[in-house]
Amino acid sequence: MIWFLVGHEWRVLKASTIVRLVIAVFAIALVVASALGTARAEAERATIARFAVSVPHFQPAPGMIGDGATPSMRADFAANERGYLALLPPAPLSALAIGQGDVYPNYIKVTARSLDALVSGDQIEHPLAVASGQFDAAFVVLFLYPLLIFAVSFDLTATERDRGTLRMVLAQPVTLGEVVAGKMIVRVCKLLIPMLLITVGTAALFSPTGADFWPRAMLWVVAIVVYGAVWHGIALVVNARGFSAPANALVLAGIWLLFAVVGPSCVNLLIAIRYPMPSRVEAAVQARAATQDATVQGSRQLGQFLQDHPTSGNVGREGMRQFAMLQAERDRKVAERLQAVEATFNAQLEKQRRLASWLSVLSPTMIAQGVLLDVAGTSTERFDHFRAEAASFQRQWQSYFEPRVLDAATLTPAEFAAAPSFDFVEEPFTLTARRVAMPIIVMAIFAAVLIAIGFRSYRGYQL
Amino acid sequence: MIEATELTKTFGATLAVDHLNLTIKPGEIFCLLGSNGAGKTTTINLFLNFIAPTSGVARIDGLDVVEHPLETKQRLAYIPEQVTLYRNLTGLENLRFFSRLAKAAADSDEELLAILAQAGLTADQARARISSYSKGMRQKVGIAITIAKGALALLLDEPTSGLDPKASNDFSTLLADLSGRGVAILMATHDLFRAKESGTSVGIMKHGRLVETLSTSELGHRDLEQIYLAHMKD
Repeated sequence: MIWFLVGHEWRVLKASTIVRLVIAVFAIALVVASALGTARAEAERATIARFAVSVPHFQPAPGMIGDGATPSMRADFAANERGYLALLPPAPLSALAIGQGDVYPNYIKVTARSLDALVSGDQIEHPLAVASGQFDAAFVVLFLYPLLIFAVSFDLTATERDRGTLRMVLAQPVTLGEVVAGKMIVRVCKLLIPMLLITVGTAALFSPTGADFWPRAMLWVVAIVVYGAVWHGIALVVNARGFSAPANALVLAGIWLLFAVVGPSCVNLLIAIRYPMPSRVEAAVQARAATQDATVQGSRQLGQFLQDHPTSGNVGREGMRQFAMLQAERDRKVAERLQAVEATFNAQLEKQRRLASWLSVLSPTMIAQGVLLDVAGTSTERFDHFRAEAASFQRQWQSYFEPRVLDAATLTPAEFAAAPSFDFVEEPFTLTARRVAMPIIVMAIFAAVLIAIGFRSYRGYQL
Repeated sequence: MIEATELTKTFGATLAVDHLNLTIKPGEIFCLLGSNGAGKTTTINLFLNFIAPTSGVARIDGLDVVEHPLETKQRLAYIPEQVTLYRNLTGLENLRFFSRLAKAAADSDEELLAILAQAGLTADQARARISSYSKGMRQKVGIAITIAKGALALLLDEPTSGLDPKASNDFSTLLADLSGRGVAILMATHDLFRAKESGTSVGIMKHGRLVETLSTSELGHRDLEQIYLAHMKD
């Protein structure tokens, strides 16, 4: 009986101009968002490819010494001036969700002195785009999808009840629960099917990335299904109250505004008040202030050394070693100070994240946002993982070069080639799956409770 | 058969139906008369199980409508004052939908068109969208649904209200046809003339109570009107 009702409802909705319009708007938004996301992921991939070609090779460059036949490079130049660019490949589903990709860098310059990425390495983006978020598939899913669920579900039974059609239907051997379930199934499918086909299809066809693509795509599907179920559940509960169709529309619009717009904004505000963070400019100024005295003191010592040795010809190897030691000492002090600033910055950031994680249960949009970005691989977790790997690589780089720098050595191509290289190892999929399992379960529980309440309330529905 | 035994419904302190006892046999057309708020529609809603009785039992074909809601709905048909169907679908599509809901045997276009023809709709009318139908045409689709599902009982709630005399007369003819097929019919109406013309018996309801039951064969139009008005004056 249910499937017969589903078929009937499908035909009725197919003839509805409003529903056709809603689905067309939704499909267009999804196609545009997916296309933009794909283009962005492609651009990111091209940039990474360009860097990957130019960085690790031992090419003639400023800083090289020796003749063309036996080129060599000063160790301090190779280790610090030239350094190494640690590259983060595009996320598995980056075409679907830009996420934190417009804030965090996907490359970090590694030198023997430091990891140059905290406050100065952010992606350069238009501030307006960063403030408002990018138009990607995740945006459509998180904000437009709930609104359109309400647009097709605000009138599950109200108009049919007011016109009397529902009485005609319920005079047949069918229950109100079956009728409502049939209507819901059609509405779920009308929006869910195009969404899943367009988002996953676009990403799979034009931007497949990594071996984890399909498992992540499956999680993406599960997360969207559960997220949609929450909003369908809300619509069901409101419909079951027995208001008129316009009243349902008004109530649902208010709920959307509360959960998708006002709630997240309030949470952001609360977090910013509770754990204020310096702006990027302020953070850079703080870092500079903290390292200034060490920089100045070190530079003074180096300057004194150069005054004492006015021509490089009479410095000798020992002199150069002394100079390298002074430089290393200055760099160590600067790095220490910088580390202190970074630690404060990171601790505050961590507090913000923890509070955000707790408060996200107040809105399904916030829960789903965390899940979708994590599944797509554009959440802070993946950038943290990248940063941790880059930090570990920096230690390897440092231990390889530091003795050579202090020895004022020059490197042959073979020695340069033997230097450590960075290959980003993606976090295991199971880790991501474990991380998003709980939020997905929480949303599924919300959805189940709402749907149960909705159907239960429908038992007392006044015809 | 339609049967009520001590059927009672209260809404808060208001007694809408008061210990109603009623039996409508196959082929009988029972017209329930009464002023607005007398309890006619509430009685029909009780038989449809749209509301639960406070006490007493409503039965269709011997089955309690509360205990066997789906089985009793399989056996009854309902035509309200406004037969509101799916406006975007044709008469034929609407009939197919309701027939399938009722698990009726008739399903092909030919069978359904033949049923619509019995109810007085041409094939062209049957293939037009309901949004273009008059009230009388929609009532005919309601009759077609009754025929298609082979209902044993028919509940009508002021079905002729707003119909022109010709359409009202056509409707009475269709009811007589259904009565001839052995359908037990309960019709709530304000139309004394139509009640006398179509009904085999009439009942007058007042404040939820069935205060008088009469056989139409023993009454003239004038008699019925006088008895009705006498009850309304009390």
